[in-house]
Amino acid sequence: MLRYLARKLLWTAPVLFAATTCAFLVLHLIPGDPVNLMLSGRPASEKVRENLRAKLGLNRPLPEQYAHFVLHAARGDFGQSFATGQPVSQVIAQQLPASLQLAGSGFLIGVAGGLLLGIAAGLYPNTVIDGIAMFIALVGISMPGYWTAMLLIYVFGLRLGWVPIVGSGLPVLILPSIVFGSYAIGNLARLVRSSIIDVRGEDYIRTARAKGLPERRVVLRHALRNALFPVVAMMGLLLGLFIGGGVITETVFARQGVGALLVTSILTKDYPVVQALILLTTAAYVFANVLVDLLYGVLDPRVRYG
Amino acid sequence: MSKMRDGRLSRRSLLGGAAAAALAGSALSELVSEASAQGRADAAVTWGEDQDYATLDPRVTQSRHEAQAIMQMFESLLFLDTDGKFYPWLAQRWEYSKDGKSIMFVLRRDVKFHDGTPFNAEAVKFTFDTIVDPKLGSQGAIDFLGPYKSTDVLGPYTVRVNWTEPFAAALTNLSNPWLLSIVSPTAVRRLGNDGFARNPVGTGPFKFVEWVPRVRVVMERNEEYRWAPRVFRRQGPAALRRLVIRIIPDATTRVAALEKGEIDVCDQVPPIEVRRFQGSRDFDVMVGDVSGIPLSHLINTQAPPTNDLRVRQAYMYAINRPQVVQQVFFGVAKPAYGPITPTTPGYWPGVEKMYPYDPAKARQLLDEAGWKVGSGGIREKNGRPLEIHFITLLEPDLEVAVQAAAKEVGIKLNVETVTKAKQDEMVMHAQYNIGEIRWVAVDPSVLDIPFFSRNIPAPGKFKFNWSRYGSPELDRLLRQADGQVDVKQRQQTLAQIQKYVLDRALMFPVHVSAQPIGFRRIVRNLKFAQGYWQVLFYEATVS
Amino acid sequence: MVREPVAVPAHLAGAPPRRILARLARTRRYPIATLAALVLLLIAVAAVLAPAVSPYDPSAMATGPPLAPPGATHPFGTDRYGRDVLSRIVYGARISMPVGLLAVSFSAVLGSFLGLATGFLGGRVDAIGSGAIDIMLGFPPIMLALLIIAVLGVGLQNVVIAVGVGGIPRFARIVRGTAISIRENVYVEAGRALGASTGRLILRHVLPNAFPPIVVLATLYIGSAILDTSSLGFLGLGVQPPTPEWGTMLSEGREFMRYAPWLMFFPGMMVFVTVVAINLVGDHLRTALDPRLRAR
Repeated sequence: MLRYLARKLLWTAPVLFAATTCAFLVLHLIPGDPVNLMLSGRPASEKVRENLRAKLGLNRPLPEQYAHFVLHAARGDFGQSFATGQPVSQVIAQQLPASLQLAGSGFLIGVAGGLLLGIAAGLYPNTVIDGIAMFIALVGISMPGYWTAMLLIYVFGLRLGWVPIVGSGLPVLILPSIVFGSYAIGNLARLVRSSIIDVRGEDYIRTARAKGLPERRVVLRHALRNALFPVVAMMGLLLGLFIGGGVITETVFARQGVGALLVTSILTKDYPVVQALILLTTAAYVFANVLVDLLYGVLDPRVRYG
Repeated sequence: MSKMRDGRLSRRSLLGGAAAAALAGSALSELVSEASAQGRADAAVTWGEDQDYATLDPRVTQSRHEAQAIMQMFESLLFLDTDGKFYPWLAQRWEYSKDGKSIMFVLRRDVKFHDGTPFNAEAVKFTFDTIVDPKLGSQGAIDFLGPYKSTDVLGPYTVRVNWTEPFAAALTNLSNPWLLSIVSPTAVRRLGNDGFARNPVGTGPFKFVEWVPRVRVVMERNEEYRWAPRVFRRQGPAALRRLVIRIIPDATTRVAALEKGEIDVCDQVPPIEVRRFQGSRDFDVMVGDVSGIPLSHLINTQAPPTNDLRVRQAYMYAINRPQVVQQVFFGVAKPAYGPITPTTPGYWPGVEKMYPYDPAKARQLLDEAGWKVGSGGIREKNGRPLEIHFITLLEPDLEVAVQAAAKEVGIKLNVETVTKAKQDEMVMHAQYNIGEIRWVAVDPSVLDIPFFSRNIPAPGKFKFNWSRYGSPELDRLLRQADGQVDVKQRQQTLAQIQKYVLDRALMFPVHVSAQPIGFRRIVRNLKFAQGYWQVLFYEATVS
Repeated sequence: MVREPVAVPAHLAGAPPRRILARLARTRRYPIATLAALVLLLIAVAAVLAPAVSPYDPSAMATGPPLAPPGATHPFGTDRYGRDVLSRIVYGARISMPVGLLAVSFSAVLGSFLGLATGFLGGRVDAIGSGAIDIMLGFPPIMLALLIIAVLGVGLQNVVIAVGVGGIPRFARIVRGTAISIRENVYVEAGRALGASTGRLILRHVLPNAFPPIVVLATLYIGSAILDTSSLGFLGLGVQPPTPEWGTMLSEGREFMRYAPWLMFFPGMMVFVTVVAINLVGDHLRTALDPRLRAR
């Protein structure tokens, strides 16, 4: 298992390096001068532009900029944001808590909702309960996130006034978490349902049934164990997605967060921030995958790492 | 100018007490403010801001949004009020040299920076000299200093600022409270330029407390403050104990925050919300008619079909500006007719008669130019349809309405929404017929930017003469206005420039940018700063 | 907005096309999937016949008062310019459906090519190809889409590419798996022994076998492609106004949520109904093609 882990981790290095290089090249393909974007349409003189270019190191040749970037990135230094002049690590660190809060609470809602629906549907397959649960799951994966968000804002924020739309603290997190979690609910519910149905067909359940043990409890115990797998997989996915998934949710709810930061940074060509974010997301994705693999092994001794 | 003031008076009566009090002058507003001038001494007010901040250093900023915070904490040598008059501020007196190349300032002696550093001639020299230092990376102030040469310290409280040529915009620019404000030299030396940008130290009525990027800027009252310009009725420290700026980029959220009481003042209220607030018991709105260049279409005079004057003029006659503007802004913004707005010094009212809505004239001009109505109502010439390529970034909503109006006379306006990066690229490579601009500016010298021939964009050179029209005559007029220290003479030159630009249909002004500020009625005495974009909180009270 | 289509079971690979049709025919009794297919058909017909069925020109202004609520003359109300929302939604189907289909075809074709090449050829090609797939999977689709839009600019074709690229590695992975399993198959080895060319082997054996999972994945992916397209539109980076793309319409309606909720309600509803219908059909396809699921 250690060897497996070592190999997996070794593999992440070229992936991350390639991702970074791609990001650097792609960013420089984007039309437009970052200095102009910084000035956001304000009529600044050539003098201003030259000073800024020198200050940001944009007057150096591309290979030199790349080398500079890679050497510093290897040490965890991503430079300064063009937009705010802050160190990039600080810019991202400021956005992370909001994103993690959203991903965390969204994940909780997704797991709770998904398990509930999935178990209900799995225990009573092909009944009205199953139908309703699976319908909700279908709605969860088919609703456009921004639309869900707008409907929730309209009904609970504007019409009923039950939840605050802006501000801080737990109440503000409610609606965005529901939106963020709704996708997980749908997918998880489906996976849990089918794993429960699988378990019911297994021999040991039949044996238990024959022995007169209360079937539901047996099924639930085994099924839940099985259901942990999709939950773990989902966790990995969400961990990797918290940046991407946040883009829409954060935009609609006008929240802070890494997703919103990504959109603005790409549009304003804030190279240092985008590069760091790409690296961060890719890393999160890759490590999440490794983590999920490992967790599988912990949960199921039958899984062997070759 | 008198016409413009009338316009403002009528709006004032329309908007009621709080806004009226904000605009000093009338007897009514005196009464209103007497009643509410005291307010609660420990009040805090939160302003909802629509854009994120990057720096709080006046020497570095270029953003009118950052200005909202900066001008509460910093002060400049002169105060230019919205009435167009200069008042003493950090400078008590000033005097132009005979050649118009230098101005001598006698400074106040009782001013201290927030960090205790005394304000003096040295601080003025330090501020201006560091602005022109390339290492600072100044984005706005360096241009506002114009052809700056040097600052001479003539005594502890006397300075002379020198330019290499006469600089007519000097007084306006030096009165700018967010670009050429004076910074504490000790603080800059202690913190470095980057450090100062996050911990600004000025002389203004509010002191910096905290800045959480993308979230908020917090300021508190400067208890030592005794040097407010006399345009304010208040003297001494500000009425508010605390002033917070919350960054809420999304307009809907910002308005919701105002209604929930999470913020007290909200900038850029969407036009559709303005009517609702105006009629409400708890909220009100004051609308600033922003100075500078209105939202305008710059028409490329080099690319077909807009290289034909008749096509450009037809376009300008074809669009019913009052109607379009009403439709898109629900009466909140006013149509614009000239290259600078009515609240900008040097505005020439003659522009208002130049391109009335006249579709018949538009059709006639197009007929003359050889564009005949073809299939589907779109005009054609030599088998080619009359297509005008329009790139929009600022106001796609408006351009959709303009597109429909152009179609009425047979012009197919291809509106392409672009990102800023894409726009820059297309502008530099002349791949457009029409582009949009708008700027907040207080001095008419802003006209140089879209009309001076040296500002025609080229590959690698992003500039703003998008009409791509250069003529020695226009250059001469612009240069002349820039150097005319005499206000009357300058006004005449500016009128000529405005007429010249419209005669050749280089620019189609569409509407004056509106800054609708929504606020809770308990907040009183808000005052627009010069330019009608930012609000000064020095006098503000909460009842 | 980032949605991973539910993975296609590996044992799905291997069902020859003829059997697929037979299985689909046998499962006609599922009324919901039939209904969903009918809904899709209806939307498609409306899109094709848009000029005939929509009550107004979708870009004509002042067809009624601005921001008029739904009523007899404007069943879905009007927007800020007095344009008829229903007409715009009908014309919107002409954008969303084809963009979704094109984006998926884009990912399916390129993904299959990559998957076949890596899986069947193996060796160094596979090492490099798999690496590329892994790296592409490392980028969240929305980030890829944003970067591509940033490079290419906004507009219809670019949206197709931006949405499509995210799907490439997902198709590639599945096709690669199929290709590997088939490469080791007896009849392929026999074919090779008989001197059949690689191209011929791919055409004769690998493609037909990889077909069912591709179809299922593609169906499920159309839904997410439509969602992604409208999400880009919502962010202001997709199809541009005044083109009536559903996501763009929603974004335009956002400002007026309080006064004219129908501006955001109906376009969102259309995206939702379309995607639900596609998912239902996709689920049905998967069940029909998966013997294990069907046995239950």
